[in-house]
Amino acid sequence: MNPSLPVFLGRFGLWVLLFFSLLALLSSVFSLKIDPRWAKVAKRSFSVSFLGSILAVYGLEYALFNHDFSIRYIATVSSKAQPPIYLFSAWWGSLEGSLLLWVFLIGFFCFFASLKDGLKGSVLGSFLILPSATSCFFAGLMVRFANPLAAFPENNFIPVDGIGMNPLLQNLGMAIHPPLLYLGFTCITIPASYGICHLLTGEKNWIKLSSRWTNLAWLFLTAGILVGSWWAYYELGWGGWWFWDPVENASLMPWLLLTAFAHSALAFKARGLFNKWNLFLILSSYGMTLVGTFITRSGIITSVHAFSESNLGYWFLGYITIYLISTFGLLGWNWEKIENTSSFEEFSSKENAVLFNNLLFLGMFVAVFFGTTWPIFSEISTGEKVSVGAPYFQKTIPPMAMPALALMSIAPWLSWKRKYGKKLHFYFKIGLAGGILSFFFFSYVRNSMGLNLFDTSWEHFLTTFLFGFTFIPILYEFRNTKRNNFLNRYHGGLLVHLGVLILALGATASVHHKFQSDITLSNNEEQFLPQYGIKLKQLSQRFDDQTGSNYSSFSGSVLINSDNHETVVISEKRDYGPNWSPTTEMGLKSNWKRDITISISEIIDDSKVVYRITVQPFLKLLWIGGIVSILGFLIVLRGKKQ
Amino acid sequence: MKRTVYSLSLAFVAIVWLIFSGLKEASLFFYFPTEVERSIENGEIEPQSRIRIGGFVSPGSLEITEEKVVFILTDDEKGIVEVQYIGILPDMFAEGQGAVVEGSFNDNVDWIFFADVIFVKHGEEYSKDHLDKSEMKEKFGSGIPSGTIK
Repeated sequence: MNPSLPVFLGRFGLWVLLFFSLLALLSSVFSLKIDPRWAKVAKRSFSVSFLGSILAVYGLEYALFNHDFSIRYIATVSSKAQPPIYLFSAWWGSLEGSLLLWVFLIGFFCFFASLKDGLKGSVLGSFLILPSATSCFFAGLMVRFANPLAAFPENNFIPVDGIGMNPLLQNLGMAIHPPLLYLGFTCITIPASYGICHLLTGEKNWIKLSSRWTNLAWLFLTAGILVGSWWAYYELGWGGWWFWDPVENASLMPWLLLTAFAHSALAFKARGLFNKWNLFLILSSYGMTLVGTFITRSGIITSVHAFSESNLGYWFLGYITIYLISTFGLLGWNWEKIENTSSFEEFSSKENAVLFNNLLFLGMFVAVFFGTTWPIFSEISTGEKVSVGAPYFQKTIPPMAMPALALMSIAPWLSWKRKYGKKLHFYFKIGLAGGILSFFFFSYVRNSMGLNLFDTSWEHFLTTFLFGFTFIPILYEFRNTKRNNFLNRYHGGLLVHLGVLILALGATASVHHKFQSDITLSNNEEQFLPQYGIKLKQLSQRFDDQTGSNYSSFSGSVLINSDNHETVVISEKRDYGPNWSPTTEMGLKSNWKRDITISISEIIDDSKVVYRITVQPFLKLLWIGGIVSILGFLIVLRGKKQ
Repeated sequence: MKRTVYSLSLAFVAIVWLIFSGLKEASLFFYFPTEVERSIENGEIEPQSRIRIGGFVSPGSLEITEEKVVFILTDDEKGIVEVQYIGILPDMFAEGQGAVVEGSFNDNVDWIFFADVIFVKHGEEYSKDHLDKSEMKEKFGSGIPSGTIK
C-alpha cells in the first residue's frame, strides 16, 4: 500500500532532519576550526533540520487523526474510539513518538534562542554543537531503530481499529505530564550549550545569556514533576503520590542539579563566583536528562538482561559516554583558564549559603542517583541483583532535605559579600515568634483530627515551625516594599521558597501520618473509625455496562461523615475490556485539613464490597505549595528588577 | 575561608556515610524464580530474610479465596515459586502479568513465599513484555514497537 502524501512527507522530514542536523554539526565545528563564517551555514542547516522535524510531526499527527493503522506506531498507540485530545497526545504515547517530540522541542528552543539572543560567529557555532549533535543522534535512532512512521512489515496482520492507548494514560494529567518534562529536558540544552560556548570561545556572558532559559527549564520540569505526582494520586487511586520509582527518579535527578545550578548561577551573577562549579552543574544536568531517558527507556533497571535485548540501549549508552567524555574533557582541558571575577570573603554571606545549598542538592542527587542505579552496579559487579525501594530514600533524603529547608528560610535575608546585618536579626526574631505560633497551630489541627499531639516525625515538627518562621518575615518584607517595586524578582524567589515549605509540610505529614485500612461494607451498613472521627456508610452500588464510554463500570456510593459534615463519594472500578487491566477511580473527600479517599478494592458479592480507605492529613498542602511555587516562579520569570 | 572548607568537608563526609549506610540497610536482594530454586538447593537463601522475587504469574495458578491469595510466580526458564499473599491485589495484577513480590519464606518447610507487598509497575514495562510474549505476538508477529509508554 502506498502511504498518503503527509505520511510520505513525514518520512522524508526525518531524513531531512538527520541530514541537515549532521550538516549543522559539521559546519558548527568548522566555524571554530576554519572560519567563523561557517556558523551561518550551521544556523541555516539547523533551521532546515527543524523544518524537517515539523514535517515529521505533521505526518505523524495526520496519520493519527486519519487512523492510518498501516503504520505500526499509530496502530499501537491509538484507536478509532479515542477522543481527539488523546489522539493528539498519542504523539508521545510511546518511545518512537517521544524521540520525535524531543527533537522537535530541541529544534524549537534552539532555533528561537539563537535568534533571540542575537548570537554570531564562533559563539553561534559553538552554541549549535550540542543541539545539532543531539538532533542528529535522535534522528539516527528514529530512522534506524524506532521510526514512528514505519509501516507494518509486509504480509503482517493489520489491526482494523487500532489497539489504543492504555486507559490509565487517557487522562488530562498524563496528556500534559510528559511534554512538560520534555520541555524542561530540552530547555536545559540551551544553558548547557552556553556552557560549552564558554569553554570553547571564552564567551564571558554565558550565565547571563542562559539564565532566562535555565529559569524556563526549571519551571517546566517542576510543573512536569508536580503534574506527574498529581496524576499518580488521582488516577492510580491508592492514595500514593510519590513511589521512588526509577521513572520518577529519572525526572528528579536533573531537577535537583538544575535547582543547584539556578542558585549558584545567582552567586555568579552577583559576585562572579563558582564559575567552574556552574559549568560542572549544567553539563551534568544535561547529562542527567540523557541518563534518565536511558534508564526509563532501556529497561535496564528491571534487569541488565532486558537491556541487552534492545539495540537502542547500547546506542544511548554510547552517546552518553561520548557526551560525558567530550564535555568533561573540555572542562578539564580548560580548567586553568576558567576564572572567577572575585574571591570568597565572609563565612555568613549569601554566597556561602549558596555553597551549602549546592552541597545539599548535590548530596540528594547522588543519593537518588545511587538508589536508582545501584541495582545495575550491583548486578554488573557481583552478579547479585538487589532492589532499592522507598525505605532507602526515606532514610537518606530527609537528613539532607531538612537542612536545605532550614537554610532556605534564612538565606534570602543574608547579604552578598558582607556579614549579615540588622535585617537578619530582626527577621530572625519575628520569624521565631511566627514559627512557634505555626508550630502550635498545626499541632492543634493535627490533634483535632484525632492524632496524638506529640506523635509525629521530627521532619514534620521542623516544617511546621519553619512555615511560620519564613512566612512572617516574608509578609513583613512585602509590606515594606514600595508600591511600584512590588512583586519583583526577589519577591518571586521568596514565594517559591514559601511554596516549597508548604509542600514539605504536606509531604512530611502524609509520610508519617498516612493511615490505610481495608473495610468491608454492605448496603446501609455503617462503620466507624473512632480514632479519626470518621463514619462510613455504603448507600448503594451498581453495575453499569452502558456508560456511554468505552468501559463498563461498577460503582459504590459511600457516605462519609467527618468534621461534622456529610459527603457522598462515589468510587468506581472500570473495565476497559480484555486488552486492559481494570482501573480504580477513587472517591475523595478533601479539605485543607485532610484527604479521605475511598477505593473499591474487592467486590465480594451484590451487596458486599471491600473498600480501601486512606486518610492523609494536610495532603492538599502538597498541591497548594506546588501552585504557590509555580506562581512565585512566574513572577521571577517576569523579571522585574528589585 | 577555613571555616567554610571545614564545614563543607564535614557535611560531605556525613552525606557519603548516609548514602552508603542507607544502601547497605535498605536494599533487598532480588531474584528470578529460577534463581530462587537454585539458591534454595544450594542453601543460599536465609529462610527468614526479606527478599524480592520478580516474574510473571503463571496462567491457571491464581486462586483467590476470602482469606488469602495463592499463585505461582514463574519466568522464562520455567522456574517456580509458590506465593501466598494476604491483602488487596493491585488493579493490574492478573495471570500472565509481570509482578514483583516482597516478603520472606518465613522459616517455612515447604518453601512457600509469604508476600506482604506486590508491585505491578504502573509504567508499561511489565505489561508490554507480557503483550510481546503472548497474545499480541500471535496477532501481529513482531509488529509491536519496542519501548515503554510514559
